[in-house]
Amino acid sequence: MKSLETSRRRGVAEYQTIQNNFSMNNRRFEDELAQVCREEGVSLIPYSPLAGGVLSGKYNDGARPEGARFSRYLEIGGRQAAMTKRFAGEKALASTERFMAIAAEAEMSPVTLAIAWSKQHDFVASTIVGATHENQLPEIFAASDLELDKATMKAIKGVSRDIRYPMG
Amino acid sequence: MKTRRLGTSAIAVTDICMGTMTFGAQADEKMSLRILDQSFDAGINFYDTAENYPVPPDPKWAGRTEEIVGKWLATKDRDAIILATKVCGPSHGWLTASQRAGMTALDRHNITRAVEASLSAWGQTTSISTKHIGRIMARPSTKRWKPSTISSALAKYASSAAAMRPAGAS
Repeated sequence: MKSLETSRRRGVAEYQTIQNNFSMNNRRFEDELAQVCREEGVSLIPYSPLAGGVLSGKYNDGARPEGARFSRYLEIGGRQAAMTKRFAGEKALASTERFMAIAAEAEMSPVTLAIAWSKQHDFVASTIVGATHENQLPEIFAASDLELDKATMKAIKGVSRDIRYPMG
Repeated sequence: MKTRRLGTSAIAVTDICMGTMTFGAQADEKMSLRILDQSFDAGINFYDTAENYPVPPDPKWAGRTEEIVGKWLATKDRDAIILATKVCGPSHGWLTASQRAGMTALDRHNITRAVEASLSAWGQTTSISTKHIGRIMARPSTKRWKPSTISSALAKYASSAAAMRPAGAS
């Protein structure tokens, strides 16, 4: 807000976007910032829509797939290991399991579900995805023209109500 | 693929943006280029990078991601792509930036150096007549930053057709 006001007062370019972490496992943006952005005309460009890949389910049941980011981060230690605890902690994996069931019900991959969900917010302009291998792309692109139905959105909301702030 | 505007700017981007933080680390150059090509073919026009990529930040591979993005850009119509990059904020404590000996900050000096380095990695120069950075985002990681310092430095680029179009915070 301060920055927007400063820019307006000085008549210079103002922030048009904000890039924050936002996903089914981290909905903190909705607490306050979403409303500010709506009113100020600033778009969210969420990063980590898969919560660091966790929402794909690849870390569930204690899995540490080879070459995956958080498998590496645990080896590196320090800040990276702490980040892994936040992204792939108990609560984050528990909610991921619930989201995977919702995805199965809706007959899509958990990856597609997570990206489609992110896109379906009026304050989001563009959802930043990432990949380490081209074989991850089809599930991402499958979200491009997809709109989740009301029942699916409601089911996701239910998980968020049951498991508050899965990433702390 | 649907498009939406960035804030109140005139730029419309696809509602999926391809990120690049794995390029040059978890994804080697060949794989990175394949990911970029397939994204472009799928209709994605919006790409996001950073001077501090790949992650985790490490001086041993500093700037490698933007170099790969630059190589790819050269194979495409530059006007068909909206490219966002980020200048790294003060990194003491939270992380150590891979650039400028870890002494990054958000003042005119650092923002100018970051913009020039990004453009150079993309094979573009900073003269007025050249193409643009789609967006640049300042990443303040301290609560004591002064909005006016950042906005005046960023405004220089937003107002000089040289480089930047909309600005953002990250």
